[in-house]
Amino acid sequence: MTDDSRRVDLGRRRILKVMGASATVPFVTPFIGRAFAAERLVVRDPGGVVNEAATKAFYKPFAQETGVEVVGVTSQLEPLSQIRTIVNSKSYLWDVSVLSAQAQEILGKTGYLDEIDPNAPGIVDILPQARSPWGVGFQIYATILAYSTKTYGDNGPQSWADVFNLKMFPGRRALRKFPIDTLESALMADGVDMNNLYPLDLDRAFKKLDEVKPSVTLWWSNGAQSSQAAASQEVDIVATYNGRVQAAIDDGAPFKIVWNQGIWASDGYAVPKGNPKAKLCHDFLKFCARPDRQAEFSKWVPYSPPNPKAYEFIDKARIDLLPTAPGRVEKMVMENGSYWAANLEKVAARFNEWIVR
Amino acid sequence: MGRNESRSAVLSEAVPLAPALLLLLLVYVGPVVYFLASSFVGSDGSIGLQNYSRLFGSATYVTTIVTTLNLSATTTALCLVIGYPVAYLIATTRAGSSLILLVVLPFWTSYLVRTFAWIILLGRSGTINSTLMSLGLIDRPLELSYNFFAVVTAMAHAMLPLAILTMLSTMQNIGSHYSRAASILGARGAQSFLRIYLPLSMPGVAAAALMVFIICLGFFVNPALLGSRHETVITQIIIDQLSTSLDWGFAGAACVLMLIVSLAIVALYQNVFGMTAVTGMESRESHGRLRSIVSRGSMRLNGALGQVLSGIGKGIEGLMCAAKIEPRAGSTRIILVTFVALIVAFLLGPVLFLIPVSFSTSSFMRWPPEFFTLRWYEGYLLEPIWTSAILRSLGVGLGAAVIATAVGTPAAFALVRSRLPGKPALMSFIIIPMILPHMVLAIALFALYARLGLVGSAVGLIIAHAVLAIPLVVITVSSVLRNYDRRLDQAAAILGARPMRVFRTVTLPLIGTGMISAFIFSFISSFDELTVSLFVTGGLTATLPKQMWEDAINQVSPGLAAVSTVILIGLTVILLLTALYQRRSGSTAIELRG
Repeated sequence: MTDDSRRVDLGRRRILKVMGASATVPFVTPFIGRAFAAERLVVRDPGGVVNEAATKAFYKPFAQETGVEVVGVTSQLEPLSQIRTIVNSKSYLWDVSVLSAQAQEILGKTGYLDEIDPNAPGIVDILPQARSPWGVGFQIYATILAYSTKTYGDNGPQSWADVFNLKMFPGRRALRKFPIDTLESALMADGVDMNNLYPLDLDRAFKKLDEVKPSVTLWWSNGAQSSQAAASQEVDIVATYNGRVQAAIDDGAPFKIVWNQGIWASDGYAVPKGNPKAKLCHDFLKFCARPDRQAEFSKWVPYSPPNPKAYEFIDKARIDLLPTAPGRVEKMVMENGSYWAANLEKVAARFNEWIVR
Repeated sequence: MGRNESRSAVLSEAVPLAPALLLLLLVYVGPVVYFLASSFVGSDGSIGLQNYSRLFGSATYVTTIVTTLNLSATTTALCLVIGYPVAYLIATTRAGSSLILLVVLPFWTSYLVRTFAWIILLGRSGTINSTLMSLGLIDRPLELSYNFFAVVTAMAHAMLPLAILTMLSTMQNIGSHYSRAASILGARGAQSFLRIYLPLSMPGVAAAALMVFIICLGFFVNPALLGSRHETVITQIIIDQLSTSLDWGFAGAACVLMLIVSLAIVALYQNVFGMTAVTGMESRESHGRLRSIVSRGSMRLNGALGQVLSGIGKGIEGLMCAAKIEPRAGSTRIILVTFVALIVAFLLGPVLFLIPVSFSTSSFMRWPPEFFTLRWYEGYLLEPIWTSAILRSLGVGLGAAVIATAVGTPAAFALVRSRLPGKPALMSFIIIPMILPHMVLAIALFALYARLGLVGSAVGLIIAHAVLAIPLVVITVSSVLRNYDRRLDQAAAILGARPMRVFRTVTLPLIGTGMISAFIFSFISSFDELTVSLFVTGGLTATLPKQMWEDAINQVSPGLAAVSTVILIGLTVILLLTALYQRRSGSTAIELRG
């Protein structure tokens, strides 16, 4: 009796596995749905508009297809410590987490993340720059400058050099209180060729930052602050993520985005190591890499899909708001996640020392 | 025999302290010490002081500690100066209890949301600037935000109710017969105030100062959102270290440094003002030469201060005589009432400001708000995630407040009344959760709870919040006990009342106000607590502040104002009902005082 039932069980499992490997996703999903009917995935995301868009593009549709409920929960940016604690203590508060490129590298190299299957359907199409051995990109965003048209009309700053030029463009600035992107923009302002930014010349960057320091009214540490500052016209020039300024513009704030010398980067989904639900987590990653899902995501928040096949599903007007609209990427530079993974700790300490001085 | 007896008597006096100490040891000290011990482990795994040499080798930490102390001290001074008259008016007026309701009103809105209110109020094109401009009073916007002024304003706004309530609980125990006696003996209003009332109220002032100052040391949301780079505080740096650089050892070292600074301040305080102000301990016996020198010095200082104050009083009277102003009680009263009205307006402004914003059609918090929509109310309050967060926070807050009051009150009794040796040390020990940034406890507890399977459970959070609230209870109840006339108990006992009856019919009613304040403080501190909740509530069991924080760091929408308005109205109704009930059942405390 017992032997029989075990054999049957094994058989069913094997079938499932074979089917999973053949990766006919629509065919398999009803089975997964039944197998994990009471399952739930908790996905850590950066909240706000990203959470809303991910709910519509990823969480709810995944639940519809598989029966697995997906809940998005928010935490502060770059939750490195939390992931380490989660893995060390084996209490998987989050099954999947949104992580930046450098966070993926820092955690991945120290063994805190599952490796992804780079050849899985969907994932295989993701731009190599938006993929790491541990994470699958779902959004490409850009750190750009934007200026108040109320203050400068149409003749606002057009480059980082202009942002750092207090004589030509007097006014209040909002910059990010974090070395990533801020140091890159300082170097570009000082004339460093954007293709030769890395490794960063730190002395030169901080020297340049000294120049702009007196005009920086707001050093923001979370994106909402920069949106709010633009929406309430607290500042005249802001350096932030394109989606953040767009939100203020959509609300009627007189701001204009300058894509020139933007710094683009991607965020991806990653799976903390050792989770008993790992299989399901990786299914979720594959699901989020699908072109139709990534296109849906871009509808709700102006960030680009790292899967180029997604563009088929996005209308032209929308593409115009994305960092990857035709002619933009050429004028931008990609943030070097590996550089930051290796140097963030040291540079952040120096940045903190600089900022309170 | 006799010696054994006295030893067992001392031991039995220590019993009331046991629950509080046990809870602190298990839930606070153990996990935290484990975390702080990591500061002696270098990044290469060797044991040593390398984290500390790095700490002092960097200007960041020294600078931010100075900033933290400066902000805390300024906020404390401001709270005492503007809070004292309010507390005084409440304590000496019939309408005082209604005034209390107004003073605590800001408590009922999230600290986080109030911070956002200040951003809009003080902004370049914010409420104050645009109003002044349209009135033609100024030509260009005043620089009100992103500076020291903005941070101190918002911090003082957050701490003022606490300062007022703490001073009030001492003032309410100052019998009016002292002032009457002084006036019979010929003292004028100012003189009797300066020489009688002010010195008697000093324990409350000192307790308020210590409490406000210590809580301010842990503030980071206000400085981060309203300050410039010059207002970067040490807690912020520690949080950055922990969440970005993964440097546990170094963060631990920074925490140790902050702990040492805080303890040094408490020790200094203890010697200058005497911890009596906080614990109610009468330190007649002198511990060592330094202490007696300091305490003698501080007695002289107090005496000198009294003389200076009465000198000023005489000076003022002289000036008034010279200016032929009759020092009528009425005119000072009018000045006092006007001043208090201004302070109450300051307290209520940002809170009431949120109400119109919550009906605004814009997706951001903006001034002036564009009307009119109910979508924020619908969008937020019909969401189960918000309603369950509200209920959860209420439950956790009540649970934590009940535990903290039940455990903290006996501890306060033991600390004030027992003959235990080392009471100051015990007191310093108990207030540790107030001194250290909550982040330290949050991380330490996360590791502990993960092992116990308590992450995400309400029980875990209630225990954590109760531990954080114990110092509030002990300090508040102690400050009431210190002014408590024990002869009342003795009189009851002589008249035949048993100890329990004495406690129930005499002691309890007299310290009731203090206990209720302690309960309210505990509830609020839990209801508003964010950092520990961020860590130990895990993904799906968010409390209200956590839910709001998540919303706030991602989008500053009027939805926060809507949630805040609903909480404000709900809690105000509860409070009013409680007040009505108390009035109907007749507050014995008030009768006794009269």
